Amino acid sequence: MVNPFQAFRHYAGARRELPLDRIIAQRDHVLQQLLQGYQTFVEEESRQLVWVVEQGALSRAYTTAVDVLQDIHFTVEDVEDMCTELDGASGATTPLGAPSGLFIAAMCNYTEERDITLNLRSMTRRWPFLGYRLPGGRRLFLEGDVGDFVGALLEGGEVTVTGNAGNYAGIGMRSGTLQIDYSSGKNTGEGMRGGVLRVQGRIAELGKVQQGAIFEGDQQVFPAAPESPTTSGSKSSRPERVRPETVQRKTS
Amino acid sequence: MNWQDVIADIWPQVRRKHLWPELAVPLVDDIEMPVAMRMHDKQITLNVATCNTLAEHLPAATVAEALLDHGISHYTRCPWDFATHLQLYSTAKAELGRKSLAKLATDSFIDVVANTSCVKNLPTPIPDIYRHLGGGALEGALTALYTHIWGMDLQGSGDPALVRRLGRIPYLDRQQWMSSMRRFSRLLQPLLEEETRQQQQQTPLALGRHSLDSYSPEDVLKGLQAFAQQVPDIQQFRDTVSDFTEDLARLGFGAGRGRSVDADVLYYIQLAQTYQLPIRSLPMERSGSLEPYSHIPWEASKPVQDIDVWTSFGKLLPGVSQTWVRRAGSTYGQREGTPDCLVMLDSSGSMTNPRKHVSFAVLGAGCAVEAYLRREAHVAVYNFSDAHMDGKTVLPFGANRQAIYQGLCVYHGGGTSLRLRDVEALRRTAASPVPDLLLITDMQITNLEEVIAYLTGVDGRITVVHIGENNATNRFRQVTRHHPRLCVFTVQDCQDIPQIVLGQVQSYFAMSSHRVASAPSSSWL
Repeated sequence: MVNPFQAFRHYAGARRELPLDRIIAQRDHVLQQLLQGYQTFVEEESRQLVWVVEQGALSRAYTTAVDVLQDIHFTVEDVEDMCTELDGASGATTPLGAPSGLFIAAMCNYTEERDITLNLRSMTRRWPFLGYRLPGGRRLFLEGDVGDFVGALLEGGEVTVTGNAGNYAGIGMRSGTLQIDYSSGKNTGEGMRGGVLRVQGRIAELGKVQQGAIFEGDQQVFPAAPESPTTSGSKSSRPERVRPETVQRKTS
Repeated sequence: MNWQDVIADIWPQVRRKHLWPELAVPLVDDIEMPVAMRMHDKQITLNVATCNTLAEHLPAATVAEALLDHGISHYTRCPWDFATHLQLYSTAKAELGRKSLAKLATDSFIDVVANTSCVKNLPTPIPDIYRHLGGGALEGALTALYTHIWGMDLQGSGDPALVRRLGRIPYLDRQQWMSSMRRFSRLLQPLLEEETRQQQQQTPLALGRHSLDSYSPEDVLKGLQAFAQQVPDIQQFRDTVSDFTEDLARLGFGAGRGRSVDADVLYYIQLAQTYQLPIRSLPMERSGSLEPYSHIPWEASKPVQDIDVWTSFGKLLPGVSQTWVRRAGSTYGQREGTPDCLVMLDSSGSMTNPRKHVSFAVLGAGCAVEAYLRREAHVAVYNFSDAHMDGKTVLPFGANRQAIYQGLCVYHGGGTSLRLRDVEALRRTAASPVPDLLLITDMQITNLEEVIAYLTGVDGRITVVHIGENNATNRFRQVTRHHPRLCVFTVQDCQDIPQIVLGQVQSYFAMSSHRVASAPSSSWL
């Protein structure tokens, strides 16, 4: 009797090892490391029963994130993948708002590339603290709307937001540039000690700015430009304009 | 060059390489569009012009083998079936928003997966033809991607950062195809927009477009059913399917000549066909078939097949042998059948609009319709809201599935009252003497007492399906709890629908009433 599978006997599947396999394996390995690091970071931060956004907590969380990331070699594409992973994550890797944003900021600050682009349009979460302590020589392009505290404590880096920013944009920034293509929320530039903050759209409300320069459109709103004869009637240099509804008003 | 001979030579090798796919011998023909091949109902046709162009650089056998490898990979690897194709398209559409961009993105993604899978698993000359295919910016970027992920220099041109990002997508992991499609679309969006701006959407890719033509009608039917089950809501189904209305109408899924596909109706049809509701058959009073009635002596000129051998003493003799006389008409006995069904569907304001969200009422009615039509019974539809104020759609008994679903998908809104005179008039037009009645409502009917009185007095089996719980439901249950021919079911979500047993009679379950009564969602009353 003829074996119906005879024809398959000498069939040798010539499976080729493609560079794609190596790339995907490497990507998965790094992502796994990042997720483990994030889990360690979350466990560390979870010990704080109440996570309050204040300088001590931020510094501590950021230092923890940096420690966790020290031994991981990752690229900007890994940062993008990590953001996507966190955006759809649940369970043990559930994003924790401010700490998660700080973790992403730490990744941006310690990746090998100097120019980083994050596409946030397709993400459901609005991470706070993106661009936190971005050092000089680095550029961070954030495509889409961002959450609160973008560019916080900026240390010479350049952050560009192509959408709207939330509240407390540029809080405590020391140097560098924060460019927002649309509008920003309340307390913009709060505690700012240097650098340039440019908002192409509207600023809902300025915070207590110490130093630096803030522009709303083409107009410099801090330090207030000297009053021209045509605007002598206005009592305050702070613009009182209605902010578009598209800007998020949430506070963390 | 005779390309058909080249294909005849190469085809057995190609088939063997792909483990004998069930495809006809490919053809070679002039195709008007500048594409390499066309696939129609699993028939691959290569374009002579493209073959000749490529044959200037490569041996003819290599060209034919590469093109056939590519074509077959679409059947054996990606998209594999129509449901996957629709899902990929739906994902791309959600990301890109525009039909033209989504189709282009889907075609590109399918090509990348099919080619990469082929290159990885088989000895194939596909990379060779990509060196000579040419194309626009999109093709250039995809060729650069192939260079990056296949490790061969194919002379593509693309932004290295983009290619690097595209190269991190796990194309060969089927489980991640949807998230991969999302990333692929997002990354390629600028190039896709540029490509469509250049009016090249008719011939987006050199190797050809992927339309529904490549699937058989059976594939499309199965794919639509699977897709209807996979999508979370009717909106997504409509958005996706309405982009393929021309193709679907060409395949016979439209509502008739010159009428396009109603995606909502198609959704409910496909979803309802995946449920199998049981119907209890009834002894039918009239069978209508020819039955043996009496004997007469057989004559030589008469057919022999009706001879009754028992009364003919085993002889075939004229005047001795007896033949049956058959008579049509009433035959009384245990022959079972399925009567026609009158579906009364509440589409008042308190019910879900079936064209905005998934309506369990319409879906349940659709399942019932499918069950009756499958048994060759006829169905009438009485879709009502405030019937006394003319808020009703009446469809006489028939078996036109499309018309029935059209009737079910009508949403009237407003108040709820059932005009029983209409119902009775419609019921009397049924071909079967006692048709079944199916009422689907949330019970918030103005003349509920009249309806109860009518249903308890009417002949035939009555199935009442109510959506949600309220006081009126309790009232209805209380009043009809001892009715022998009336069953009440609750439908809260899709999972309750298979629990419905149509045309059921309580006495059938007399022996197992305790067990059935314990079922929480479909309790017998």
